[in-house]
Amino acid sequence: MSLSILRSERWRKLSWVAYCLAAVALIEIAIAVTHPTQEDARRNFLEYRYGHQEVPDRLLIAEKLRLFKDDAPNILQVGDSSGFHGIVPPVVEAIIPRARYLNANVFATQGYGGFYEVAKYFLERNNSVRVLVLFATPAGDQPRDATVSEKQLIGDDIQREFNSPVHRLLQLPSLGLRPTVTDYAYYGTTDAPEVLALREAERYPEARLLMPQSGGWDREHDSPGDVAENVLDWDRRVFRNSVPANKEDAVREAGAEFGVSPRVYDWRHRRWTTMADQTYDRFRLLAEEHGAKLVIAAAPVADVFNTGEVGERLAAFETHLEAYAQAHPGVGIVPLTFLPTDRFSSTVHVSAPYASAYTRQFSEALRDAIGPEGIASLPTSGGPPRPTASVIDIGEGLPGYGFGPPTKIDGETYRAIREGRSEALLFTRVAREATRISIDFGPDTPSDLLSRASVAVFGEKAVRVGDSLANGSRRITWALPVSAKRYQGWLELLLSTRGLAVWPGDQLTTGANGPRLKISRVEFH
Amino acid sequence: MQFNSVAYIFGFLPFVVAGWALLRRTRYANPFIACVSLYFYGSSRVWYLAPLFFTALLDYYIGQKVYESKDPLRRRNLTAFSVVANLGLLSYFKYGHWLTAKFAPALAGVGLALPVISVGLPPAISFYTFQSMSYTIDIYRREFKPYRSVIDYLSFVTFFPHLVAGPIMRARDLLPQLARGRSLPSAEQVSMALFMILFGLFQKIVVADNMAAVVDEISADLSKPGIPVAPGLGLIFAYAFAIQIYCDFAAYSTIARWSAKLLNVELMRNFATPYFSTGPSEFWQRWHISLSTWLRDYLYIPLGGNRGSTARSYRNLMLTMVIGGLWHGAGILFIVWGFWHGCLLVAYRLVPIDRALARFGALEKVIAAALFFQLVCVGWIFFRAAPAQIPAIFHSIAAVPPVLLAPAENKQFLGYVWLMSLMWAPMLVFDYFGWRRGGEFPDVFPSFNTALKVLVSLLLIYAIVFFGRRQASEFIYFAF
Repeated sequence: MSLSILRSERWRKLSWVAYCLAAVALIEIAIAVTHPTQEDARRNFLEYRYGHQEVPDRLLIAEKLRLFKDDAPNILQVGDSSGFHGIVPPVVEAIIPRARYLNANVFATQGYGGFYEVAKYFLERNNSVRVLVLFATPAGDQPRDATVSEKQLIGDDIQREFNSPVHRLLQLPSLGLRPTVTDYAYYGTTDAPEVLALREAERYPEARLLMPQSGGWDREHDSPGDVAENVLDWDRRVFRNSVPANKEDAVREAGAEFGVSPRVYDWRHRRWTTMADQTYDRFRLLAEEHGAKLVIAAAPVADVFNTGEVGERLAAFETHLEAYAQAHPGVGIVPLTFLPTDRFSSTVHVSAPYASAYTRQFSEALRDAIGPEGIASLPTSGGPPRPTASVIDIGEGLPGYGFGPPTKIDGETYRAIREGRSEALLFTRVAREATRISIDFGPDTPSDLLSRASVAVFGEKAVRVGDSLANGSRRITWALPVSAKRYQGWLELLLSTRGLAVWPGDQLTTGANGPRLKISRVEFH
Repeated sequence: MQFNSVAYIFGFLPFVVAGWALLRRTRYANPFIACVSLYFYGSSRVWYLAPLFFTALLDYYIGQKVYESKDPLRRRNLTAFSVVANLGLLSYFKYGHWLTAKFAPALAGVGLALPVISVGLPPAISFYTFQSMSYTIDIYRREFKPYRSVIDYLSFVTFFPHLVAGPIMRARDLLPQLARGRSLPSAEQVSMALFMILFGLFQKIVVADNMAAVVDEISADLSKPGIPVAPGLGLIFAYAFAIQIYCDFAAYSTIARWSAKLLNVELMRNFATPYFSTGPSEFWQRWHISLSTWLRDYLYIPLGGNRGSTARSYRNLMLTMVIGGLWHGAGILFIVWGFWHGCLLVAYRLVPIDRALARFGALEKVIAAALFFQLVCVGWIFFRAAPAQIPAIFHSIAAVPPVLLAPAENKQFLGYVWLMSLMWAPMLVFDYFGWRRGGEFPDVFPSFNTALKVLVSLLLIYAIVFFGRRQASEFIYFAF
């Protein structure tokens, strides 16, 4: 019978399909054996386009999902960039006992569908999660068409590539070779750092350093200029081409886009509801399914928006959120707060120097939302320890804020504090045993500046314990304050040219000393 | 739903083919086709179905009435009503925003408030209104007898392979196929269909989408105020868009045609290696054939066609092409694009360069095709660019000679040339073989032996695996 099939006309016409499938199977098996790759390297989530760096949104989502898939957090946070840049997990962990906090927020381009898929991805892999925090800004990212059903949102792609068992079948072993093949075809080499899609993608280098150490947090944009005036200017440059005549107009323009959650008809329950409630219900059910409590957190908003029609809209959001929590007693909320405008470096992003301070405020509200019983139920984390660093690389991707670009002098890389500033920040996680920090300064750094240079950790000044010369550089060593231990090795260091312990605000000064202070190496021991 | 989605290729299409194969001998076959087609079309937005139903049911009803009526005046009035209703619907969705936005400020100046229409454009509305309209016109002309079954009629209008972006089928070609019981496709048809769907995916995901990225990138550069676009990139823009729109639309037509074939339905050929044309007449016999023949039959010929004086014939040509341009979308540059092609048709009739060159030999024929390709690309600039970008594009094209003299200083230009060559070369090879057979690549495929079929298929599969764009863009003609 089998021979008669092989001799049939139908087989003759279609045999190429069978041979082709067999060839594909053989090729894939051969690649799987000779060039095995991890599942994360075989996803169809990134583009590897010609002459193009990957879009940060996708790159950072892929990176977070890869880094933390087995992180075993007991509190998981998903949402938009306001949380990505706003919530520093070690600070939350210092305030909420037993918390292992994962900040899985990335960008609003995920949409609520994307936040949901990210939450689902982690919840399905980590049964340790007891609290799911949905953290998004009411300024622009309330559930509405633009954040829920807009075609450009990448939630469906996240679902497809990370959560769909069907699409997993299409993640062929050969896909692991895609970056190599595309680089070779496009550039004739597999080692051309200036053109490869991943290496210099915007924001990737520092995020790659900071996210694993911090538990998912990355600092906000670090661009020259005065943060105090940046909030609306940034908004103008990024979202609008128009230049409003004054700040009030800019607030009106930006606020007009905040939008409110529309009323929609719920066909399933045959009732009118809002898109926000529908969205929160999805997250609530997901959390319940995995034995977790949902906490809906409103990101802070600049107080410049707490006025007029925009302010009324935000107040209505707050009322709505409270009503939702009342209707669903299992759901907690972190209410909307207004912060001074100069603490934002975009319309909705808390600026890096204020992220820790805001996180403290948030953590206290979150602790209340979870409640003592909820906190007591948090399991002790069995997740891997967060990576630590003993040296901070001064080159590309500096995990800092307020530094200028790297420069090379006699083969050594230096960075100075930006124009107009006398202070800059460094973020890192060090081994808990580390007690000292040494910084190498450039040989041409004025000695009066070196004598005034200071380091503070979370607002507490470090004691200077020694000066020495190392390879022609002046090395100064400070003892880390004991209180820094409460952040499990996570450090927010303020480097000051005038002995300050806390970030002085963002007013730029023409005579600032920062640009004269060059550093080449930061080491912990 | 998109043809280039995993859901379509591995879910929807196999389900529909299997469902039809099971139901084909029952009276549920066409209801099934109509239902899945409506799901295919309405799955992204349910309200898209409303204008589709309006058009379909209106023309079904009017078609019956026109056929039944013996009164010529009533027949004419009913047909005119169908045309006006279809064009009115099309105009409302397609041109309403454009026109009201243009006129509102002017009218506001004289104290009249004109509300600006802002309603989303249902995909494919240009296609199905033209198709539905031609149904009524054919009945009026007594070229076609309407079918009684509304289900058969709905399955014709909504038939998913061609619903969204054509080919624009006439009822007399498609309805009889759908209405009668059909046998299963032959092994050869299935073999061809599987290969051609793979080929269409390659055209779209690898070639068209990679070129779309280049076009979008240069377009973004062109939109930056005060920053001139790099020398030569205007030319890349034109060429890349020429490749993109061809491969995008041809891919849609290929997948549509061969998806239909799996249901044993024959859709008309929509492309036949158009960039090998040596002149505009030949081009329009090879490019978007279903639209050009529609315009010929329902516009150009009724306008008088070639009958009458030469000037009148040229006027008819220009009018047809300008309306053809406007069919593509609301915007002055679509009209300019149509006008440009009208001018080319007239110019080549006045001075038949193509025929003069082709008389000399093969090389001259290649020159004629290359020359005409440049002229087509000029048209594509109007089709794709925004009005404010046009001067910068031509300025950048004018700067091509210095770029060629100093290639090392223009790495971006050279990089794009390399990418275009990488993507376009296989398509040129496929098209060349098709062109030599006087058709398309599908005409060549059956002559391959099994080994060659496997080899070509593997190349296409791995081109998609490695070079296919993941962030799939919609087919360009969805917007029309």
